[in-house]
Amino acid sequence: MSERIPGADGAFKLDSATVSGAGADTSLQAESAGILLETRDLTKYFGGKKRLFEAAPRIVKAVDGVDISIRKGETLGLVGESGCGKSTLGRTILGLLPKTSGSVFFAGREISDLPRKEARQLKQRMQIVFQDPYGSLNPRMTVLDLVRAPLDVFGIGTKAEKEERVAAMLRQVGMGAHQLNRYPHEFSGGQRQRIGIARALILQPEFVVCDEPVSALDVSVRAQVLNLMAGLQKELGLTYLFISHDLSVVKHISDRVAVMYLGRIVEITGKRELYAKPLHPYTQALLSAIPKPSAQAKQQRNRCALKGDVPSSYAMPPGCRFHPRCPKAIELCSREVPLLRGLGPDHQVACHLA
Amino acid sequence: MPRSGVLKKTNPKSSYFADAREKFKEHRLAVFGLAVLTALVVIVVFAPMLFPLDPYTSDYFEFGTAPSAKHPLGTDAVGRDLLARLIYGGRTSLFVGLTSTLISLLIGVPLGLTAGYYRGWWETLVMRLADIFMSFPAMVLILVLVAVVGPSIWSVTVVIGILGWTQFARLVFANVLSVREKEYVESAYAIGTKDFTVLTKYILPNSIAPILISMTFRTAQAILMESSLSFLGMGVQPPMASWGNLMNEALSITVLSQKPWIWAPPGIALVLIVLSINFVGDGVRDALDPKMRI
Repeated sequence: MSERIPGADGAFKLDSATVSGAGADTSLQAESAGILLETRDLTKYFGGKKRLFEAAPRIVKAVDGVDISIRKGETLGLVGESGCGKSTLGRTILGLLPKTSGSVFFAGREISDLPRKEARQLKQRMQIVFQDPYGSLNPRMTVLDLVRAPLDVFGIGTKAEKEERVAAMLRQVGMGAHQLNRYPHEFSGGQRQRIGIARALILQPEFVVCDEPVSALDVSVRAQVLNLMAGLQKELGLTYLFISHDLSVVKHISDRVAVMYLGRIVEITGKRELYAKPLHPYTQALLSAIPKPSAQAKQQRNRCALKGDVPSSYAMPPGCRFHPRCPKAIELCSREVPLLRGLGPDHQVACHLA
Repeated sequence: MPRSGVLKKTNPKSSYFADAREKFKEHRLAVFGLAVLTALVVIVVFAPMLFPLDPYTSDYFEFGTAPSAKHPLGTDAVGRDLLARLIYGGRTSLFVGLTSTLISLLIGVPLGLTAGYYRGWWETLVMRLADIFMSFPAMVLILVLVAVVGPSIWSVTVVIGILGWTQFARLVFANVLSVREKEYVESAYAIGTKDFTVLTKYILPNSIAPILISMTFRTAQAILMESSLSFLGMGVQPPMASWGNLMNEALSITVLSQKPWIWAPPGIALVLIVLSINFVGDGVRDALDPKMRI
């Protein structure tokens, strides 16, 4: 039922129970189609434990049935407003958070159920760059310690080799070897993010989750770090899952873009297509909210403001999660969950009206 | 862009503690306390090496005499030189204070660390055990334990040390709860770091400040406890000197009212050392973590 070759038109899965089982052979196909990472009906719920004085356990469905596939060497942008589950999705893919159900395929292998030891080995191939350059570096470690830590963990190389590799890595991200013995607090946000990138890349991973890597940076250094990441991707053949709430950043760096709303992917397509011809009303609203630089463009802009607020994650609306705020909602939307379905080559939308 | 030169520091390795030192210097009472403490420690440690002090032999011609040229602080009831006993008693106090704090530290820190890190049943076990320990009046418990083991400098040290673990465990536990949620700890998991390394390289180094601060206060507390015990006759036993058992003679009303040179010097020394340690602790706390108040 849920079988699919990513990118092709056709019915998409749905309903949490359907999937799994028939995984192995499809993923082999996926591998040959250049897919590096794929999630199938991945869910991550928080809570659920019954607490004292609470009638029913409260569950937050942070990621609720997500199917995405990322091709080798591409950058998949993941956008959505705060709290929609972007970061949770990234962390669940990497195994930093245990999944609730579903599966993750990496290079054709199901990785979300691996025993701890094997999961640890995978860290050499999958890495993450964190959002907060101030919080993600241990304040009691020097730059050398920080960037060398992954090599220490996997016991790669002798002491001298490690140091050489760290120095080379730091050069690659634009930092000098004379900074090796300094502590994180002595650096600016942009420099710290470079250190974070160096730490993520020193094991030569294939896949990197970039969790809003430039959101915490000054606008003036954002472009530098973005260009650095794009350059490194080309040099090292990396595949990125680039999480951001900033549409202009995503537009700059992504090949394809997935739009997320309340734990679900609502639209996923090539960058150009998405920005030119958004099909989901939520995507349209997001894009219309991008500030325009010129007065002329401002007039042309067809601003569609959303009504209401994001619903509480404890009490999701039935049917399409977006329908209470959707300007085009019809009766069907409040009843039935729209499935992600292919519309045109490489363009999938979860909307009854699209 | 690397901004070489702008942030250059002569010794970046110690920058955190260099900052702390600057802040400590601004705390006048702490600097004063450190000076007094250093002086006391120097006297207590080095005086017996430099001067011929004999705290044990009785002077058969002088029992309980007032200060004189021969015995600057007088003699006690059995004719022992009180200055020598004061200085040797200081050694006892320092030894008990530091050693028992070290014992508390060695028990409390690992327990607090692991309880905060692994949570679950281990947390419940350790922290409830700490609650039980703390619900007993420490002095009574120590008296009973010392009575069972037999009073000596070692039993007092060990008992005070063991009973002090709760303070460190709770402090470290609370700190671990906050540190483990930091993104740099998650970053350690992201590169596959093992639990033990996360604990020793990421969580412990970021919990040092509260541990250091607590150590100073605990040392002062332990010194006081030892003195109280010795004063009651349940601590360090004569002929070995301790500030507490020097004051024990003041239990007699004649000594208390007629011979202040026997009990006043050890009392003053005790107040001085405890106060100065507490001032130093205040200073260390303000220097390391201005937001923290114990």
